[in-house]
Amino acid sequence: MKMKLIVILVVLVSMFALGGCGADTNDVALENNTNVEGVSNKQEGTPKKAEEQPAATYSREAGRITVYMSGPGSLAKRLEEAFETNRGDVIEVLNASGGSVAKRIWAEMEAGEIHADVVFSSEPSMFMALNEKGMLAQYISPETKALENQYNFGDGYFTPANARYGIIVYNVDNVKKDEVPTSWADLKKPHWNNRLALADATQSATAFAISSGVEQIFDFDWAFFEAMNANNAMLLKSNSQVAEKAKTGEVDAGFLPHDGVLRSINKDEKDGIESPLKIVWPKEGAISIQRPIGIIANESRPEENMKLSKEFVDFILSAEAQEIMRKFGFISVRTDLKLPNGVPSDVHSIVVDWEHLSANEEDIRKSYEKIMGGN
Amino acid sequence: MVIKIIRAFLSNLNANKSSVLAGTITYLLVALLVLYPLATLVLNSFGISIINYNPTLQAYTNVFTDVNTWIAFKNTIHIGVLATFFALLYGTTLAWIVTRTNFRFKKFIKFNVFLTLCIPSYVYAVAWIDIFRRNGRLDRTLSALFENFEYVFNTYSLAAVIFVLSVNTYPIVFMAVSHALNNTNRSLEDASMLSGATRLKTTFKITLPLIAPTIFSIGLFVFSRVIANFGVPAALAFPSGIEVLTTRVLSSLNNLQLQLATTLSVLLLVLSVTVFYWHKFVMKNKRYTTISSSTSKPQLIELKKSKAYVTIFVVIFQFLTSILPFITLSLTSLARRSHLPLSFQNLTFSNFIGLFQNPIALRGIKNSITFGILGASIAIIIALGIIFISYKTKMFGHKFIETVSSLPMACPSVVLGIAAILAWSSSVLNIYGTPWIIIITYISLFIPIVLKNLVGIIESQEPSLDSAARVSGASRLRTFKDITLPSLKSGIFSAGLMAFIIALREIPISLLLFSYGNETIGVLMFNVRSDFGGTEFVSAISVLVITSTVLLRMILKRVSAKQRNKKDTSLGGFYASSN
Repeated sequence: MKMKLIVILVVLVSMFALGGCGADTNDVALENNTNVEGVSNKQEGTPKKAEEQPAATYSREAGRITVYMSGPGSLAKRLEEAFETNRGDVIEVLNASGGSVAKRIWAEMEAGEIHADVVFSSEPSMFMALNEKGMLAQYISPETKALENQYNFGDGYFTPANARYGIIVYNVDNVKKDEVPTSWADLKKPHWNNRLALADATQSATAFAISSGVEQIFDFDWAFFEAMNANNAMLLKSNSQVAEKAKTGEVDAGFLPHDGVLRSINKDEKDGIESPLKIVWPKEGAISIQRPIGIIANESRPEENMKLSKEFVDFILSAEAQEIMRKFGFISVRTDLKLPNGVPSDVHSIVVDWEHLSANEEDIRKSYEKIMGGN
Repeated sequence: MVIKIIRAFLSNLNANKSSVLAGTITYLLVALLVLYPLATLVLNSFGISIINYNPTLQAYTNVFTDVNTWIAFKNTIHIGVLATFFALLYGTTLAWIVTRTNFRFKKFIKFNVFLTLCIPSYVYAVAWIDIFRRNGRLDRTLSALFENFEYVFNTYSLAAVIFVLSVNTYPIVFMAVSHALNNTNRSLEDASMLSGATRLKTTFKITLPLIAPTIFSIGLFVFSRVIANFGVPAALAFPSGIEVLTTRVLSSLNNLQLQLATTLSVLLLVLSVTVFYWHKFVMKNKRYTTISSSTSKPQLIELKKSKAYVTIFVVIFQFLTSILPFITLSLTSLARRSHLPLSFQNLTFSNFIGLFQNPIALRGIKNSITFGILGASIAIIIALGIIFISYKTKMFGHKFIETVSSLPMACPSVVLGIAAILAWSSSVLNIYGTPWIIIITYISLFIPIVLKNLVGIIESQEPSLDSAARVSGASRLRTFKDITLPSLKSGIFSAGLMAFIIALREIPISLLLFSYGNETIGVLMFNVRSDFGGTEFVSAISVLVITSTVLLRMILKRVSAKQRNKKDTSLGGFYASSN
């Protein structure tokens, strides 16, 4: 009797579990997970430079494409809904942090097939590496004409779809007026001892891009991060934690992409609370990080799905999607849209040298780790 | 002779086909769920896998020449030794006060030990940050009291990790040492007192040596739990750039260095398994603690002058370590924003309401409950199979299966997670990205906990009942079903509860194995984000975990009170608590 009951219970619960845990992609996902999606028998370091060919298998159904998308979960949800308005359920969105998306793609590539049709992720160097291996399909969207010149690169293998700025944030309650930083160099000063936080570049792809951008300003002399270490800057798992720690007053300042700060300020405003956070647009320049979109090359993809993939790229570059992203604080790549509220029109920005970053990734990572790790 | 054996075996097979079948299935499941992942992990570190045969020691030379690994190793040992020392100190002192003195507030001590057991280690770390961070509870209180107050305190350090982990593990010591003290022969202590020794001298010369083996073995156990911990060093040491072995496994994974993560996991596995089995060996061989449980009412030491000191110590220590963390988390969970001053208009229930409205939060809670119930149920079935084999049959390997199935208990959860990634995401067997990879790993973690709970009951059972059933013609399986199972009912229930409690607090396994849609409570707690809910949200979920654990543990207490006449089964609870 008892056994029977247990068996029945297990069967019932497992049915519930499968029903409950299916890929209900309409939900909002956690961005900054430390997940290693599908890492298989991967060896150390970055992917080997083998001559790999686009996969010859396509394991998904026709009429429905899979999109890997980093960024806020609620944004991914909004974009999916907007795209599906007149089309029905045609895309499945997998939302994870930029780092997780990259890991998943490398792991899947080694296993033989990247399970995404379209990838929309947090910085260009991953796309450059994919392109070098011939894993991206070329598609020049008609919307490209509406793009600002500075965002028109990638030869159609990938296209910047929005941008964010690496900036400094500080807490107005805790930073005296004469202390307010105006430049990246200001953060090197010793009075910031024990008052700074930053996201760990070895864990976050965006943090890695911002860190490289800052070092680019200082010609990679690494004095900036040596000063961060000397100031006992707090190392956090993700960029959003930087905003959180600055908001609670645990630290007084930090640096991260601007859009998360804008969203945090907006959320407080909505709840009738004055946010203690303020953005500094550094004198040397905010670090501009483009977030590209691209189609994964796959020869055996059904025509129908290739068409959908192209339509999705067009959609993301369209004024409609760009406006949605603008409301989440992202900078539009189009000429015909305003800047998000809270971003001044005269922002001086520095574009990360992605070629240099791709070529020297290992060295940059090692230098960073040597300085910031192992106190 | 040989023929005789074979014939016996065959007739056995014929008579008990179904019990052989049940046994074989159990063997296969244990091999698949417990042995296969761990073997994959170890073989992988030597360059051997299903799809790749390339034996090498390269990974180990890399690890041993890596400076950061050595530092992490040193930090791990440092934390392990000191946290164990302090846990022993707190636990033994409190146990001595409760069992040997006439201290008045024994119930208070026991209540706080209970509450401490209900607070997961990571939640302690969250509370620590809440209190000690800059602009935290302490800083703000002191700044309000003193003008121009400057708060200088390093919130994130090895010392913080050591303190939090020693507090988190001392209840284990308290329970084990209380048990030992209750069971030591009091006549030895009485004799010492009668011969003119002082109380202090008796305590140090008689009582302590008597319970020394218990202290030693429980110390080893605490040590193995402390070095296995991931959440606390990740929260309290990593922000200062300090790494231990468990956090280094995670960070090497983040750098896509799976080989390094694998090798580190094997090292961690060897270290933990060695210490754990050493602990088991000592436990088995301790002789003089349980000579007799004296029936005479023991003479309690009267606390005279020292009463005030003892009271102050107990109240302050326990208030700080169990009630205060709960209070501070509750306050933060009720705050509109944690940086706002504490006042009525800044209080809200919206963080709790949000837990059940936000789709991710709700999904996380739902997943943890489902994975927990499912994992516990399957683990119970497999554990029953193991018990059937090792106690009711003479099948090949019946002596080893229990030890083998206990392996996951000795493993740090991080190691189980890495083993699962390697074992279940290969091109041959791929369940990565599904909830099953988490559930399967939970099953392997829960099997030893259930076993621990049931073996105690089985061993104290009267074998003649079985014989009676067998003589009356019942098969082995039938005997097991009709005689053994009913007697295990309450044991099964409490084991299931314990496993479920772990599922509510477990972090590393789900953090390593979750994918979109399969987030658990542990993942939600670990990944704070500001535009999602931040500190207040994490506090609310922590309060929810603590209160539900308190409720579940109260049910557990009731159930085990009913089976008190049976052998002590509380040990399984230790494992459940130290996660």
